Amino acid sequence: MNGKDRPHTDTESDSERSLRALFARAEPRLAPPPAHAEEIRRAVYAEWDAVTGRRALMRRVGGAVAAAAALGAVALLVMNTGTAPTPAAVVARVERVQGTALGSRDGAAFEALRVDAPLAQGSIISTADGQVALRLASGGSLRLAAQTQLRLTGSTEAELVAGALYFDSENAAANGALAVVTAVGTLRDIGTQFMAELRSNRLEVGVRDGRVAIARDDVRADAVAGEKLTVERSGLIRRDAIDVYGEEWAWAERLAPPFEIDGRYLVDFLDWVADQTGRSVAFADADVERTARQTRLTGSIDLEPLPKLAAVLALTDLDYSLEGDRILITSKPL
Amino acid sequence: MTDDLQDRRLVKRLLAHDHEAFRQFFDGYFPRLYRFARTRLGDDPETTKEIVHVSLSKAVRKLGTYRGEAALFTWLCTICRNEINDHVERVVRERKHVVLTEDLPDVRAAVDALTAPASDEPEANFRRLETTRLIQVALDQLPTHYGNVLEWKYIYGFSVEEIAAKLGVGLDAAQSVLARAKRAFHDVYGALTRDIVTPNADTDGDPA
Repeated sequence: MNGKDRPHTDTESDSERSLRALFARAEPRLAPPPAHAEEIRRAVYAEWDAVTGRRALMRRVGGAVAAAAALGAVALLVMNTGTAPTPAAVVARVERVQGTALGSRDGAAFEALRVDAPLAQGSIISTADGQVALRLASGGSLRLAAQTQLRLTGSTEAELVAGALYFDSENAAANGALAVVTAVGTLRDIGTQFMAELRSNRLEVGVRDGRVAIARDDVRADAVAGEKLTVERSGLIRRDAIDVYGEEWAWAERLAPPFEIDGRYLVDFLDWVADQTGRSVAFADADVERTARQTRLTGSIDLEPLPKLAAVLALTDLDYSLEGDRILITSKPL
Repeated sequence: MTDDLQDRRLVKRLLAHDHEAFRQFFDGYFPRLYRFARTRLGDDPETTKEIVHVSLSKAVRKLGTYRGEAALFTWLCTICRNEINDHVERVVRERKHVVLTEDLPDVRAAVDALTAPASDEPEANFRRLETTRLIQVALDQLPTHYGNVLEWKYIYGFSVEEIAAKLGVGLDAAQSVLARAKRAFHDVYGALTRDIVTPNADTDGDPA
């Protein structure tokens, strides 16, 4: 029964009756749209985690320093032997930055990331409103969406604290499978391109190519290309079909590694575009394919894959159109 | 425990990176701040999203400066209000260079026709809407669980037993929360409506 329809009783006080009368004119308060709430929660969480996580870390470091001071004699001995801390291994380099993304290590202040900056094991990346692509030392392209926080815990392991990432193992280039640890479960790529997004109460993993294994406690599930697994914190796992191309992947495409076209055949460039956009290349006929195989490109241009395709083909006799998951290459009309 | 003390403790836990505190903070304050912003932004959901996002992000960055001198919600509203003011100033600056399509005479007439009040009794309609709005504002000014229990009881019609179950407390505790919520609502709503003088004012807006 609605509260406004509830009958009054004789025992109700005047105050209660007037409150009911007043609320009879009221409507429920507006609830924020769930999608907006989720988006803002994720963003604010990443901000809060970056700010207060570092404070907590600093406190722990402070505690450790105090403990070390209490053991002064031991500390002096270590200093006198000239033992210096071993520099942490470089596990990645910054390949692309869009907007501002921040990095920190060992509780130091966050600093804006620059292209080519080395990232040592233990580094924390916080993208805020920016996006960043990393080249892993073990191979592969790791890309972080806006409002993401990630800790590089090793050469083949990272902890996704909040937000979304995309990983392209680039086939044989990777020396070791990447493991992504999250609060909901651990992902391990098996020669693949995948996207993982950690929301407040679940982990979503979409696979574009290859296979990803997800482990949570003693449960393991695999997802293959064209599948999305949603792992709830409760342990519930749902499997859905997804497109491996389109808007959902667009942010990762914008962070695609550079492709130098100078001296390369057009067909190689088309393969790269297809790989970066989750599509396949189809030729309208044998003549078109022959032209693509024989055309050698010169020059340099740095754009996202599809705009770059348009720019490159504009200088050739070929054209393209997107037809579902295909990039159809055709001749330009005479 | 007083609300101020609760606010200070919540902030202290947030600064200590307590994830449960973040959940309480976001679930408790985000919907209220969202409504605060949306009513001031012409009911525009996209701009509201942007402003609330920026406001809460700034708030978590400045948590260390919160001293508990004002309620946490008041502190958040101050940050949000500043963001709204900046936004409005930006919009005004940009509009100086834009000719709105709606300003063309023919279009203006059509827009006016569309936005004319539907009610035959605009004043009564306005009073009803204003009362509704003030009730909602008062509910949002209360501690989160006070606003929720009043909405559950008087708008959704939940029984005390149902409210107790939703709060995860016993019947007596739920009744106690309701009693405190009613007193707090009475104070806040009374303060909101005290200075309002309406022609032919009747008992509209007086919960006592």
